[in-house]
Amino acid sequence: MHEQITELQKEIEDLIQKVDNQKALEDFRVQFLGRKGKIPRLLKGLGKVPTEARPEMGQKINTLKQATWEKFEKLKSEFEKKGEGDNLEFDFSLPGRHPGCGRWHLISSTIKDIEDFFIALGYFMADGPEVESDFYNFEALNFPKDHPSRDMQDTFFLPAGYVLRTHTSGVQIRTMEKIKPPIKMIASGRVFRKDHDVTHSPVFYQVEGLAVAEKVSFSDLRGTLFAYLKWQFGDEVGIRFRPSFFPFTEPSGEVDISCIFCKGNGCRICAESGWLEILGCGMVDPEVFRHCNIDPEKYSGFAFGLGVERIAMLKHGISDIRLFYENDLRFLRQF
Amino acid sequence: MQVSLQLLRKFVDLLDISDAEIISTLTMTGLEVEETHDLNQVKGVYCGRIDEIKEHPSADKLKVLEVFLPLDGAKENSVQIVCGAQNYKEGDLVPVATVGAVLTGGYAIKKSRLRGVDSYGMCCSEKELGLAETAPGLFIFPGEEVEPGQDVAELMELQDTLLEISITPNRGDCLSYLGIARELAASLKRELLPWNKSGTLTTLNMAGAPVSITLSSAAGFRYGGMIIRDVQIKPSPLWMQLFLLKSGLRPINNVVDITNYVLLAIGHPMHSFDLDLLQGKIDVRDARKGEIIKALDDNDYKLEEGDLLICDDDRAVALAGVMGGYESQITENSKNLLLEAAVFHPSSIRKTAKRLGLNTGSSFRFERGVDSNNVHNALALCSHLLEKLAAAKPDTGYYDAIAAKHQKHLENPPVIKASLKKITALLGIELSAAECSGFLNRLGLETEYTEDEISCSIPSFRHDLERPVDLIEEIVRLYGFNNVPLTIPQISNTTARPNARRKLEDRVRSSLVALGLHEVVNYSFLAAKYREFYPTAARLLNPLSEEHAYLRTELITSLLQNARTNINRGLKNFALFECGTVFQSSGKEEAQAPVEDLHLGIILTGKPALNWTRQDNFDLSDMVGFISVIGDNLGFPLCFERKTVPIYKKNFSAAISCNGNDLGYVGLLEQSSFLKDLIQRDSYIYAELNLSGMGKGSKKKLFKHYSPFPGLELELSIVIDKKYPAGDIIEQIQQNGGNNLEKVEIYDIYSGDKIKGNEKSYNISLSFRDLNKTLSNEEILPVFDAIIEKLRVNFNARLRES
Repeated sequence: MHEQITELQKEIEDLIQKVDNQKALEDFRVQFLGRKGKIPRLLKGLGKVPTEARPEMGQKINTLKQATWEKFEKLKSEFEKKGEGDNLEFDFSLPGRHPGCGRWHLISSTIKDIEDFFIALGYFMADGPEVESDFYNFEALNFPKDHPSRDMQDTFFLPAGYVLRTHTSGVQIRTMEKIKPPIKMIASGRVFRKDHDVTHSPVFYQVEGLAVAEKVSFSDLRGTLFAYLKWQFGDEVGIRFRPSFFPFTEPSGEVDISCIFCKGNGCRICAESGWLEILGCGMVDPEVFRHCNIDPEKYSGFAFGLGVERIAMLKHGISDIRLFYENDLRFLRQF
Repeated sequence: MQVSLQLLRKFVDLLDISDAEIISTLTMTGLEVEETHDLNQVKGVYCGRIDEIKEHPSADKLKVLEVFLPLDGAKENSVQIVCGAQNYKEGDLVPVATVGAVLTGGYAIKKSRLRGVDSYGMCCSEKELGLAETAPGLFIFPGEEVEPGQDVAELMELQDTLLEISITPNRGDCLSYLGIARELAASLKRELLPWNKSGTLTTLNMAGAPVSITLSSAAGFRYGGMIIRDVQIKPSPLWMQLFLLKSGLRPINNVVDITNYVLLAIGHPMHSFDLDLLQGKIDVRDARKGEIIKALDDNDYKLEEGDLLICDDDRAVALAGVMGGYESQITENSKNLLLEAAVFHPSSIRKTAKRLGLNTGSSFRFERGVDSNNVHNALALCSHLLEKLAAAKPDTGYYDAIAAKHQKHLENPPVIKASLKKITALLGIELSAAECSGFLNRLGLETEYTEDEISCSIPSFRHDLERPVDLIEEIVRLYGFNNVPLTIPQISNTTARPNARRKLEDRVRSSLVALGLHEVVNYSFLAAKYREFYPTAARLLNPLSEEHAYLRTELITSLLQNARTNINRGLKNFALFECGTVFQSSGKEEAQAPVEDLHLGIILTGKPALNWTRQDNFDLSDMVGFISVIGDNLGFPLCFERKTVPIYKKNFSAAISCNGNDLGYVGLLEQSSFLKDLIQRDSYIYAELNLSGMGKGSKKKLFKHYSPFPGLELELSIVIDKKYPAGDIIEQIQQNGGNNLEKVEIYDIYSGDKIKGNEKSYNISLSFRDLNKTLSNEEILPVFDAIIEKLRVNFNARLRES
């Protein structure tokens, strides 16, 4: 009997080491402490022990029983603390409680992105009205009356010579009238052109940039726009500048980036050229400076205009500009 | 402008330069190639002769043709083709796509059966060959030049690519093959080819001449006229027809084609009159107001002062630079011609063309400036070709009327001086005067230079070069935009300026987005049909459509349209907002620009989020909460006051104000209101605020000390008549709570069986805290009792037994 007790004690001690979960613990309880468990069976066998040895054996078995229960309870409470063996589970797969996920419109967030870049370079944000006079939208930007350059932008007219601004470039004039160089300005906002198809919207957004100081050069323009485009489209994007014409800049240029859809190999979207037009830019025309009473002999500057939707379309692979203004929730939720 | 690559190669030596390189050079020079069209797709098309034309037995509009088509290895020398065109006669030579042929766009020809008659191929127009967008009928070869059986791809030189080049408005000189060739020659350092074999003309004395020319209008700069006799009008030879087709024009007859050829080749618009229909001398004069001219297009045009006319003794014979007159035009019977090559004031031509909506190849070029020194060349080329192709007998010279001022300008071409310092400073590149001068020479500009200055004589075709900066652009264009280094401007001392409007907009956006709303962006327009409800909407003079005829004065119609779009697509739960400009016209004073305000519109409908945590729909309380959050985040105390507003349901609308300024409205939209066709549901909650009106309300935030001591929280449960707004109760408590009352909050509202029907019960928690010490119950209880007493006296409120 004595040996049996020692043996069982050893068995219990060995086994309890291996119990590492609720199920194993329960098995352990049944095996040793259950009604037909090894300890109760040992107690039952006490009858066969000589009377004089019974108290001692009985005490030994009870001590073992108690110690085993203690071990069991200890483990049980440990497992419960771990969250096992409890009906009070939290179901993390259920959606949490929140008011829903709202989104900035892709136009707003794209503008903010662009502005972030230029604000970090020390540009400040300027504004202008959406209904402009002929002077700010055309005249001061060196679009003479009765000149074909006015055909470059299909204009919405209002009574008394007002127009819906066709570009944010009027903000250049408004800024330079108020503030003398050095100037580093960006202006974003809504512009209007009488044009409506897959790639043209009668309402769209531009971000305008202007830097004026002594000795601002064409290479400064290139460096600034290169830095911006790499930041916006990634380091691997191809960039090319080519000559163009805007009445308010001279020299004038347009900038293409390598087609992000075909990686420059030529596809339908880039008309097989491998390049996509992304912005217009140039050195501020001396006529524009004169309209703002800034001496073109002393100061020079550059200006550029980015199409916000165009940048968002390229960045996110959107092929129809009208989606921006349809405001289908499934569009709004994506960005 | 549309040009053919192969034809371009005849103007400039590009022998070893690939098509792809030509295209990229053009784009990188500033002549952007917008589209390319490869003609080299057509296979299996041969010249065939129509030998017999039979009626189709069962189709009026079809003919059955017997076409003579002798091909090597073919069993038969002739094929039967069913044809839908009508513009031919027996004996005509036409392009025939045989069975197995491929046409433009990869279209393959198979044997077919048309209304019961077999057809072994297809007779083609220039459209099927890729040479035109549309065609009136079959292309008919000029007779003597071609033989049946010849390969059409070879005959028509279809190993070619057509380019659509976008020419910017400053480069009128590039609106011709010669102009484009000049740019290519400069960029690629190549020579122009001697393509023009015409001779030199003399100028004739106008005294006693059959035609004398006067320039009465200051807008007539120069008028060159030349008499051509005994023309034979007939179709042009194939090469001429191809030149026009490949450049986007339709061949008509030799005389018209030759003037168009000159236009395309050297960029000078020409006009030809039937000399026998002119009376007396030619005068270039201003139109009189109300004068009417019948133009070539058979329309009558009513003229204004400032329009420019070409007149003979009797009448106006052409709308100068825009379109010829109907009565003096060339007909099949014309024998003797007066050829015109003139120069007119660009903006005069533009005004007329623009007002009359007549944008012609001629007006387009005059608007952008033509080369006065081309008048001679244009007449020489034109008469040379008429002699060759129309068996004409030209005079040996031409009549040349030049305005004195214009002549002076031609004799003294402008000289522009640019300092090297200025050039290198503006471009940010190091260049020598010799290098700069070299670039300009390549463009055909004559230069002289010293170490630090370049002076450049401007030829008559470069109207765009007027200032030193224009020369700088030419220099960097040839230097190569992409060879210019990359630098960042060294600008110091700029002042950073906060932008209050943007800060406000961004705070509103951030607040609402965090609350689960989606931002929308809409057009700024208002449909004409809603104008009556928004009388201050400004009218556009040239709207896209009636849907976009006015500028919106509120955002509501835009947001309701967004709601409709989404609901129609099965998206039924949403919370949308727009932050955008609206425009109020200043009434009768149309001389002023409309006033622009920044508005915020919010629309809620359906369930807040697809989520098990909330079952009920959006209600007004959500909206009031959202707007309060905005007010709180912006630092504006917003006030809601119930008010009847036409668009909303009665008793469910309020005015929103800030420090006494009305900002807008909030409420439940009434489905039967004036916007009923936009309000699809009975459950729209809508608010609109004028954010521009908030500007002055915001206070600077100064730090307020708070107490380190614990506070006391007391609960109050009262029963009160429903007619009293909760806001009044809160206000009453705040007024009587003393300095230590920190917060008053309603945390439960009850109405039901346990109290009377006209009553409501509020559970309110009151937090007290002293800045300097721990509060005791004894200190607060008198205040608490006083509050209860006030509520009892003023609102007849009683405590609710628990």
